Amino acid sequence: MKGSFTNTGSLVRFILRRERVVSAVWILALVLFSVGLVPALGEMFGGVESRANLVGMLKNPSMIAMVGPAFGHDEKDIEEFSRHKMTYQAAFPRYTEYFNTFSAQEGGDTDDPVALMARFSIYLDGLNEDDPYKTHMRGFEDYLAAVPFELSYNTGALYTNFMLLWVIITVGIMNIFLIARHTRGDEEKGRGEVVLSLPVGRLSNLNASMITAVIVNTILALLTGLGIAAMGVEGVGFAGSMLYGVALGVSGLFFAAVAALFCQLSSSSRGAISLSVLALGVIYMLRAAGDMNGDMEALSYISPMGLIQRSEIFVENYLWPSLVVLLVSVVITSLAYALNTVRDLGQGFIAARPGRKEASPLLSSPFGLAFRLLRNSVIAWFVGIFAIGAAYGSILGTEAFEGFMETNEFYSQIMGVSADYTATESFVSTIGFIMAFIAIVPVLIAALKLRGEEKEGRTEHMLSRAVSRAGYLSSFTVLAFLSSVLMQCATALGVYSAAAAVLAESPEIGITLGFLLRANLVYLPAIWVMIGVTVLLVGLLPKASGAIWGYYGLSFFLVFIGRLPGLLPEWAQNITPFAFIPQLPMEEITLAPLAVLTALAAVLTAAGFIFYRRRDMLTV
Amino acid sequence: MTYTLDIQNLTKKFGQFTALNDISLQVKEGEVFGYIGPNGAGKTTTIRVLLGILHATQGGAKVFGLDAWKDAVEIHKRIAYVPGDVNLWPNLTGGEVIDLFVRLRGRHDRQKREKLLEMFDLDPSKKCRTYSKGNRQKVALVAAFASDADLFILDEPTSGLDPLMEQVFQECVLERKNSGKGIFLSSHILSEVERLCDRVGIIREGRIVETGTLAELRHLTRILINVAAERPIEGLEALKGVHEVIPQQDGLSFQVDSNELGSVVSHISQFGVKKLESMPPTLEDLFMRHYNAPDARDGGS
Ligand SMILES: Nc1ncnc2c1ncn2[C@@H]1O[C@H](COP(=O)(O)OP(=O)(O)OP(=O)(O)O)[C@@H](O)[C@H]1O
Ligand SMILES: [Mg+2]
Repeated sequence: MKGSFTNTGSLVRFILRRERVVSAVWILALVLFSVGLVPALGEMFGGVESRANLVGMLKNPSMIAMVGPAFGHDEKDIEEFSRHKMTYQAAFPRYTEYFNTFSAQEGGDTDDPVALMARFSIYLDGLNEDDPYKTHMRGFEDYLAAVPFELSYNTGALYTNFMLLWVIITVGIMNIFLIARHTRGDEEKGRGEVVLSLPVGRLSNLNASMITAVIVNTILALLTGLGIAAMGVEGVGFAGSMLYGVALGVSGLFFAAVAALFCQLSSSSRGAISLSVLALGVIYMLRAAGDMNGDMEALSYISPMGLIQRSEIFVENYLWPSLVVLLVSVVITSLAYALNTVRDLGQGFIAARPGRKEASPLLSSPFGLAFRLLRNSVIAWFVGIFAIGAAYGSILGTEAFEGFMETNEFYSQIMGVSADYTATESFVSTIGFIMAFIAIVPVLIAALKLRGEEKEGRTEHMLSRAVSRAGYLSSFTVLAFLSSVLMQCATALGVYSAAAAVLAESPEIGITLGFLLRANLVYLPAIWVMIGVTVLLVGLLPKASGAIWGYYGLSFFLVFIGRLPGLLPEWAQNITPFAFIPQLPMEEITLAPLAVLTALAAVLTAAGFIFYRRRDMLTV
Repeated sequence: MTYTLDIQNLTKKFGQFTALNDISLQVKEGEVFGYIGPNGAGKTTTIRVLLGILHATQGGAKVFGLDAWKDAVEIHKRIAYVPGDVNLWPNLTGGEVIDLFVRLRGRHDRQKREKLLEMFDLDPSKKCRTYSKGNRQKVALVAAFASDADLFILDEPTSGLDPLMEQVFQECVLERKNSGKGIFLSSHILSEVERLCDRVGIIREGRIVETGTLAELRHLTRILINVAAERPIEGLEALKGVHEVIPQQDGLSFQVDSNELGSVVSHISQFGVKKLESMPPTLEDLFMRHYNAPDARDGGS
């Protein structure tokens, strides 16, 4: 079509101008976060020993399911490392003496020498810092530096392994919102037709939005890459840093393309965002399935996230995965362009059908309205979370998992990793953590819905009728609290439904439906605090209520990074309510912190109500 | 005398910006009050204070003798409101929205609803997303008129309606007026105001510049006179209340304040009047003066 792209340039400038705050904040937050963590990690895990310990942790299937496989030639490296360590240990003059003391304590149970050595290793690690053995071991790093040994699993590889996937998800969400905002969102608000009435081409707006995405992602890639490299941390080289940035940028573009496609297909901007985020979830789960299960590794290559991870950044630095993802993005974008030319403005490919002439009896109160507005979203999220739970649950029964249980023993022997809990248990606790953070999303959406209504100018309809502010606010708040319980149950039921068969076969694992419910419901007090903060924001600082998503992201990363022992100071972790939630079954439920969180949630919510009743409505 | 609406020294600020500056306004029982003023004058803001949606910075408003902020819910049981911008839930149908609105007030008169849907020619089975601007407005109007309220607050209710529907709207308002209901109507459509309203208030830049019946307001305005005389008319400019004297082909045209008309006419009659045309001010003229003049308030007195 002739002139389809006329005046794209002016539109790009216009969109960039509208984006200057939102995108700048996203980019800044992402870059600061990505770059800021590098020196901290470098310091914590600069030593070979601590890094080798981490590999053990990252080899845990729950970590693989969460962040993907650990690259680097770790198996070989670690065996060699442990050989060096044992040699050095044995060079401690009173080694035998220590061993005898230890065996005497143990009571001479020597039927399994491997397990015995593992316990001895733990015993040695637990000695006082001023013990002669410890003093001896402090020379180990120097010893390692003198022998020809280097761990290919360097700080950079650790960083990538730990961070890349989550940052990709965040960048993906940023891009989905960016595209939806400037295409479907504008059409919905009636701005699209104003633009189309100007001398611009049919595709100019979509094209300008995509070009904006290219610009935003390029800036993000460059700043991240240069920033990481500039930290000058050993094992975090220039090429790897830049590739890390490129991987982020390319992934961002991929999700921009996906959003552009769904913007053509669905009939509203909300629909387009939901579908795109759903696609993101599927892509994440695909690679989890592939990474967990050797037979299905192809899945990890199909998933753009899995593919990008196979760039083996800081280890091999392959560029081709980024190129492939870029190519796929171009193809998807072309498809979106093609669909854009055939569809009508403001329409999707699914036409609207006539609906009810009269309202159902339920729709006769503010609560009825809130329920009606949130119903579909709650059902969809419930099903989605149940499905993700089931997907994780099914992993519990796979061969890969059992395979790990064997190697786990190897790691615990040589690394001194605590073997107090089983891999299954640690897996269950990790699922609980990830799922809780997924499950908060619909809860926060419900809690923020009222604010959305205000922004859309619909609050007036309710408050000009016989509806009290408290009644209006409480309808949405009650639904948020209810859905928090529902979503946590969805996780437990999902995991159980898929793992029931396996768990029934091996009762010694001790994971029952009751246990799963407890392990997931224990997150509720923290989720309630998040609801409380949201209600408070809606009441007190309505314009800033979107900040809850920032707090949500921060909480996730704090808890996530908090899993790396000793990286974060205590106070930093305690900023988030999730720090006080016990991770079952490795930790016990203690009532006091849960009660305090619940009380805090109640106070925050009540304060929100008080402020909401006092303030002007329709603050936009 | 009880007022349906009683606004006393109301000031509303948004940060530094003063949207309403010390306004006072009363609406009597069973009165149709027209509220007019240029864009951004503060009409919608006034209405939102009346509805307890915005909190007055100073002063306050009483509706049915109750405090608009504190007793909002009590007041709203007897009010029907049509906002200026009707934003509806995209995935609910018009019928659902009307039912919700009517039920929130309590009694539900199905017959009335059906009758109004027919009068306004609205298809209730469509999703609000697909309604045109006028149709969204109809949803709000049907919901308002279907409820048995004592006071109707209407903020530019007809800005998107076609002339036929405008007619239907006026009928509905007159029907309510005849059964003694109060109506507070903000509008830019002057013929509508002229036809429906007992009294009018004009607001400009957050101040009430004029209130009164239309007759009273007309009285305050100037009359345009075209005159031709045998001898040149002299000394006209010097007279009180005469403005904009412009020579025409066969005489003069000028404007005169209505209260000075008598003395001016007797002055010009000295010169042998051949032709005298007077044009009473239209409502438009009245508003134009208030909308444009920066010193409208002083000029009018
Ligand atoms: N929430 C707000 N924050 C800041 N300023 C506001 C806010 N709401 C309204 N205003 C300002 O107050 C003034 C009065 O606005 P209002 O909506 O009452 O005008 P109006 O008389 O209804 O105009 P129109 O005829 O265009 O509907 C305007 O200048 C507007 O910009
Ligand atoms: Mg207005």
